[in-house]
Amino acid sequence: MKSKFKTLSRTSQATLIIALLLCVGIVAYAAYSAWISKSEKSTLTKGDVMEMSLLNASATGEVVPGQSVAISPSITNTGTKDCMAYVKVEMPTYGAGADAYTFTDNSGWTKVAESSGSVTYGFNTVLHSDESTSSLCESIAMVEMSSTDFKALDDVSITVTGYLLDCDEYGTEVGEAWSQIGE
Amino acid sequence: MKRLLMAIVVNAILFSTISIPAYAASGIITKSYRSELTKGEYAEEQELTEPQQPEPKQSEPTGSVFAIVVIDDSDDPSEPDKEENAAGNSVDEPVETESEHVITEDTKIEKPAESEGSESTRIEPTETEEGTEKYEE
Repeated sequence: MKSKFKTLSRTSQATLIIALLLCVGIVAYAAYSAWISKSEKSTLTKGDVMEMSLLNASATGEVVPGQSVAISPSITNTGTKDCMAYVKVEMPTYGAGADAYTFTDNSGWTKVAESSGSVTYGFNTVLHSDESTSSLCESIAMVEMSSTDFKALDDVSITVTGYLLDCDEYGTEVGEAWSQIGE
Repeated sequence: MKRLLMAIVVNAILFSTISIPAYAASGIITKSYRSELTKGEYAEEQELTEPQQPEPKQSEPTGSVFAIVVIDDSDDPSEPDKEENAAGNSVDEPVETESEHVITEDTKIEKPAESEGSESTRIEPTETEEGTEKYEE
């Protein structure tokens, strides 16, 4: 054995020594870990998660005054917390700040905020996990306007934003909850 | 060098553990969609609405033109009479004039007889005188 080791080149000898040292180190670390390791089990519980899906909130294509756009937004609570649901519709304005679009809200929704080019509705009841709201409206239509006002519109796009507010923090009254976030 | 690495690792752990609860504590989540709509050609619809306006204009001339034509034709000869009789019964005058024309046409045959009769009445006294003379006789 010793004579065979001497017959190897110096490089091979060095490599063999390093490999042996690594093996010894691994075995020594495993023995040390096994000797001093301790195990503790954490008692954790699942927290609440807020997640949502906003459906039928966008459309593409061309639009002219009087034409309807197939936007009928609704919200699904895909999380685990009870929440209040809101939908804000932002739209362009024409003339002296009149809204360029209009729609008829379905039952179950309450208008909680309105300004030039923006209107926000809240769903009247608490949205539990895996529950969905009804659609805010069936469609959104561009109002009748003169060709001059229509030409003056730079952007005719509509932005629909869905909100979920934690009931534990903002309560379950649709108007009061929205007033707390100041939007 | 080791302290620097340890500081980086510890700060990263602290940031991740603190920032996630801070986001969850806000109690609000949002999701937004923007509809990419473009303006359609609205001028074509304007051309369709414009022809709808002349429709009532076509009905207006048909009624008024007939009325004007009828009045103009009938009033041309009688205009001076209307102006002269404007202070009086202007509505009844055309009827009277028409009836007068009719009557005069009818009476043209009778009037000469009446006028002749009137002339004859002037002779009548002579006849009556003769008659009286005869009656006296």
